[in-house]
Amino acid sequence: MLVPANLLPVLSTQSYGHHRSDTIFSGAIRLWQQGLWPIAVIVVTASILIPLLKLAGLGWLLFQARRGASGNSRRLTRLYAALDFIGRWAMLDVFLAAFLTGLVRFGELSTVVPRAGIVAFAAAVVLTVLATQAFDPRILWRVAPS
Amino acid sequence: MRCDAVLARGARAGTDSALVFSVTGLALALPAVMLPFVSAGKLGAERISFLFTGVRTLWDSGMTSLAVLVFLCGVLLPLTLLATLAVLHAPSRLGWQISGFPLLHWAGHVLEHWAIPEVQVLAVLVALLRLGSVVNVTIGPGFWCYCAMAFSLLVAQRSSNFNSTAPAAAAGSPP
Repeated sequence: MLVPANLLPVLSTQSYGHHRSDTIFSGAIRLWQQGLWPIAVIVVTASILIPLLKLAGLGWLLFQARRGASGNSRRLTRLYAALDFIGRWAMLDVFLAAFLTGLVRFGELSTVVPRAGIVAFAAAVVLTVLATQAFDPRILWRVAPS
Repeated sequence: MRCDAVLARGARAGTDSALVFSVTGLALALPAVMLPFVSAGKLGAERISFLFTGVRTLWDSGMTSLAVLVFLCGVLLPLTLLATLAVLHAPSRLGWQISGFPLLHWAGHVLEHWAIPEVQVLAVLVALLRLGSVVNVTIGPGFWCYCAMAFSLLVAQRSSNFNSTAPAAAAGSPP
């Protein structure tokens, strides 16, 4: 779901008759170009980095779990706790889209409309949270069969 | 402790703080919902947004699944978690006996992954910074009540510990 979430537009903005659609990445670039680089960094971190880190981290944990406990169990458990904590912040863009959609409704002057990309992104976030919850960190302490 | 490893820690501030902050959060929920959240103005036109405005707009736009997700994670589940925490910690303080304690404990453990009002607070702040140059925005009292509610939930969660049996022992129920 991350592929359509990043390829499809998430928000469309209409301002003084000009219509523009943005994906997550193009929206962040536009923020950077407008000088709002802290917001651009937050959006890229929450919408792109965190989901990718979660997927990569869970994949690594699954790989290590198959190999069995090798002395890294404590570190891997901390990695799991970190992934569990950061996952919620990926919802930032979803809440952002909902808030902007509800507030910016000034007709032809300025209007923000959500697009399909934000639905795909929300689905991706929900799936990553469910994947994290489905992973039992206790298996990281299981000794590999000899 | 077992084999010099900490398996679980009890609540630092005790069950009283968890009860106090969960009840406080519940009390703040009503003004957060009823009072204006944010207002925006552009060339004389003004729009006042409440906590549910974004959810309702998404629903009206046909994005019902997104509206439900935002409503659950931003409003309903935080309130449910606050109520769960209050019910979990009230018996030890008020001398009540409740049944279904393990179920409530499990529910709280599940809810804490999905009740994320702090993320919505950050999202609104980011949106306000983004909109500042486009429209005139004014933060309403509803937003401050929502921030206080989110803070109360965070403190109540930190004062509880869903990974230990401390609340169960305090309530007199078997772990």
